[in-house]
Amino acid sequence: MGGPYFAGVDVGSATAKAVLVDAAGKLCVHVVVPSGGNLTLAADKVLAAALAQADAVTGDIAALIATGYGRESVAGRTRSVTEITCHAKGAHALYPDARSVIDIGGQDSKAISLDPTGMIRKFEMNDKCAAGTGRFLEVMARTLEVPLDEVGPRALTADRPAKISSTCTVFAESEVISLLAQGETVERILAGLCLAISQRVNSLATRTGMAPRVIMTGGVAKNTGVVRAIEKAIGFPLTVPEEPQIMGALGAALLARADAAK
Amino acid sequence: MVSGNGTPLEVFTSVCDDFYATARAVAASGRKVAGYFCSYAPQELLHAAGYFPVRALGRPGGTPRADQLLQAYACSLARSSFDAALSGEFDFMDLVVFSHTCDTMQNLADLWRSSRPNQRVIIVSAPSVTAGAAAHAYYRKVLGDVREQIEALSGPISDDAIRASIELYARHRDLIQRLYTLRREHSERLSGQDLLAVVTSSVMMPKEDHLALLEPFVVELEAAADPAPKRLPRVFVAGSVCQNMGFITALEEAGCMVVDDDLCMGSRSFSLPDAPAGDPVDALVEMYLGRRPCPAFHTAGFDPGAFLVERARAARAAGVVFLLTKFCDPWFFDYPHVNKTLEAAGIPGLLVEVEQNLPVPEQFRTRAEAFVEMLKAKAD
Amino acid sequence: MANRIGIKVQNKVKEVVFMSLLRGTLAKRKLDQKIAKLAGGKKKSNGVKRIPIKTADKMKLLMGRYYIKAKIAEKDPDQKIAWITSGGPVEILHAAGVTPIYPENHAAMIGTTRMADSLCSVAEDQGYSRDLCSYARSDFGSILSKKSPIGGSPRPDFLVCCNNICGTVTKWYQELQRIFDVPLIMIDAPYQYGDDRPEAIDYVKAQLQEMMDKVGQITGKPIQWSRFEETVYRSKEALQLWRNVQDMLAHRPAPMNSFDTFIHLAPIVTLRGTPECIEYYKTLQAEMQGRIRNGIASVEGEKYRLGWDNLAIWYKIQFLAKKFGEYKAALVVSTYAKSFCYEAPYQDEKDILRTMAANYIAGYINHGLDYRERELLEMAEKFHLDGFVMHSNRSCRAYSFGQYELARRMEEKYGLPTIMIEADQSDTRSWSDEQIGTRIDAFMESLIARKNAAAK
Repeated sequence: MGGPYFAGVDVGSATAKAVLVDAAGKLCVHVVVPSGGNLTLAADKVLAAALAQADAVTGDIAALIATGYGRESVAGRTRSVTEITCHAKGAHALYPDARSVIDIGGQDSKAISLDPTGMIRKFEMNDKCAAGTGRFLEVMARTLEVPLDEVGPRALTADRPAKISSTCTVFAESEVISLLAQGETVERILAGLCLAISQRVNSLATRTGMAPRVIMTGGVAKNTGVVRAIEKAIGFPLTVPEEPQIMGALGAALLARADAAK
Repeated sequence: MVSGNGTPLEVFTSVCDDFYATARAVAASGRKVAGYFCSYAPQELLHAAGYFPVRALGRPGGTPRADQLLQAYACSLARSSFDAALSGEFDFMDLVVFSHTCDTMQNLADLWRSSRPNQRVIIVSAPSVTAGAAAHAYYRKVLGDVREQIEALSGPISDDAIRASIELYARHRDLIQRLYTLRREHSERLSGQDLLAVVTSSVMMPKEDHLALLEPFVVELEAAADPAPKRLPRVFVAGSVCQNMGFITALEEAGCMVVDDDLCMGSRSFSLPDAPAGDPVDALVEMYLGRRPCPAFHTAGFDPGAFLVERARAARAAGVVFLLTKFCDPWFFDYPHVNKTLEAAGIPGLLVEVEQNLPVPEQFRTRAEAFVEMLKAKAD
Repeated sequence: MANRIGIKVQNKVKEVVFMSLLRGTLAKRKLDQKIAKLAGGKKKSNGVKRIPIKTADKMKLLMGRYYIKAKIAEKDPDQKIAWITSGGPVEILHAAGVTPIYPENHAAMIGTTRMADSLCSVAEDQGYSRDLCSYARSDFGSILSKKSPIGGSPRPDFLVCCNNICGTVTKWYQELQRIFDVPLIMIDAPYQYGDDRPEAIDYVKAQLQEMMDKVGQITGKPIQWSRFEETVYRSKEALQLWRNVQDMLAHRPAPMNSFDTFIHLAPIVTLRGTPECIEYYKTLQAEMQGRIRNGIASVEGEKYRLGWDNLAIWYKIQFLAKKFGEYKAALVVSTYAKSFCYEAPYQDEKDILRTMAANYIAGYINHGLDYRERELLEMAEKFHLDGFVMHSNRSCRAYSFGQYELARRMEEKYGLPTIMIEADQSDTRSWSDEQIGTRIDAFMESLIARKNAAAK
């Protein structure tokens, strides 16, 4: 009960996220659901779930900002803002000393560098190739028949990473198969894949001029194997929020609140 | 001769909707058409010989035929233009003219000649170095030879005819430059996408026709009152050809104003100096070697980074968007230096790799919007 | 004259001092090992019985000495160093006493030692596109990270770029100029679609003349014509020797193969114009004569003969040699090794500079398709080829665009089959042993079947 609420809805290619914050900017509710094929439907669903959890109704939402790949599919939005701005906002709200954000989602990976006030200095995104994204890991995990949530822990048990030279998803898949045929262990291959992703991300990070503290957001932040590999590649420890996936939606909700305050 | 009716801007825009429709109509009317690659082709010579010079800029869609003859790591301008040729879409061109620029165009010229044996191809072996007496003397010889090659097809070209063509092109160029000034200084009167439509249509229409529409258009705009300012971030666009105007449209839809450019299919093609008096072919040498260079050339003392900072500042641009055609080596070699120089000057840049023949990717909109959001936050 | 001798002695002393210094350090041993490795002195045999080429040892010494000299030059303020493209007019530098350094040669070593991936990544992280030439990328990466198979190249005092091999070098050297902030001498050698144009030759000649003046200004000593002439003649002699050596591979069985020639072209690139270079190719020539006399084959039981097009795939030389060797196929000629010894149709002993200009225009990749077709056909006839291996090289658009058409012409007009290997000269990241291996298997199977059918 209560309100008014400020809502942030982040519709990504893999999952849709909703966050409600109150007038003080306190995070009240967050929900994550799979996006499925229909982004409009996913947006409706995730917002309805968030409202239900808060025991609130649509009328309780004072402002709503939509973000993510499907931001234009969100009904009832006050306006839409890109996930780059939202992730930066969310990360900076939780960690005021944050200077960099690495976000790896299903389709995109991004590196964002912030100034001390939380403003974006520079950002980089992956090219259209899916390598270095959540999708890449998903495809590889399926090839290796490893459940997605086991990829990280198992990669960390490897004594050394297998060398994956291709960073293209299609090529890497055939490379993984031939590594298996050569008798390479699944763990080493997983470690090799984490390393490949970290190299891609490091390239983006270097180009934005990464500085600590570095926050990692997005679904892939839950993968400890990738997190460790990125830390090694960029040379800084990563701070992973408890719920890395909702950082964009949180940023959107906080922006909605800031809008209303104007 | 002009296709369609309506205001000049409507005509310019409709010409851009179907690049070669005008040229095909001109060809059907009996006038000889010369397709050319790269803005370095000496269009005045072709014009003086009675040709309608139309620029080959590829077209949207896949490139299955070109892919059989040209590797996937050739840029989309080369692949899509070549595919159009192999599909017979450029058969209306009586002559195709290449001017030496980058490795890709250099080799494409030959492939084209061997794959379209019934189409006359002239390759202008322009020097890659633009400064110095040796380069000028060499280019003079080359252009003299090109003139003879064209004359063999068209009959003699008089010096007076070349001078008249130089004069016509100069008048047109002057109007385009005035339009750029207008865009920089009265940015609300004309959008960036409209300016690009004017520029792009100018290489797709006979010069006389374009000039007839452009003159009153520019005069009217110059006299117009400024609409209320929108206070949108001002953005400068730099890059290769970028004939896919959807990128400029998407960029402005993201909430900014494209106020100036350094694009090949933009201001760069219109940066030629005035013709010196005397021999008209000598004049062409000075003009083409004296223009702002395409990055495929070597111009001693030219710093592309310093140039861009100066130009972006003059346009009061808050940021620069690089629209670089994927595999455009000359640009990608310059990019790190240019971007660093911009950063040092406090001007943020956004690099986008463009496939000219494909639709604007969804991700581009996100990046453009995020860039605009960043510029806005910076301005606040 | 006395002064020159004085300088020579001084330099000699410096060299001796530095040599002893270097000898005392582990660095030199490391360097030798690395050079040895580069020179093809790999110990592991690949299953096919091979008698190694002895001159390779001499190459280790020669190239080792060259790099040590270059390192000494870096420490000597009076000794100028120029970075130059592989197709650049190095004779002018030798005549001026300038030490030439070849970033391309260095990049090839980076490729051979498989350092390219990591050095390219360094450059990519700084904003250089992954689609740029891997030589240039790894060069920038090496400069930025100071990592190199030979402890880095000495810093240039000036740069010389000739675009007769590609337009890429123009851009590469522009960036080097920005990095080092030193003078850049550009030699523009126009690409030729038909017969070499006289105005292009005049144009290059004028630029060579200008270059001589500029180099003289940089060193502070005008280049002596007699010394220049001497260098040009030495260069001519070395080029002729290198041509002879390559021509000897027409013998059946070939005494060495194209993969060996990729290694043995280092001196012609870096040292042409010097007496050591002539000496080297004389020794190599003599060894090849011996091998022919004694019937020593590069590929034991040689049955098939192939030509190679485009740059070497530096990190897969062993793999490819082994793979083709399994089918008793020898690669006996390449447009690549020949690239460094073209002689123009125009030759005039009375006009050395114009002849030199013509020669610098004359290379394979400075010419259009019809020329390339003629060259390939001549090679096929002279070397009794059964087909071509074409390396479609992501890094090199100037060399690669047109290969599909050339392959078509070879097949349709002359019945010569071609295999296209999509790869990169030094960046391994898009290579797959399995994919390429399968492709080669399929190619050789069909080539053998064709040949057998034709024999019946």
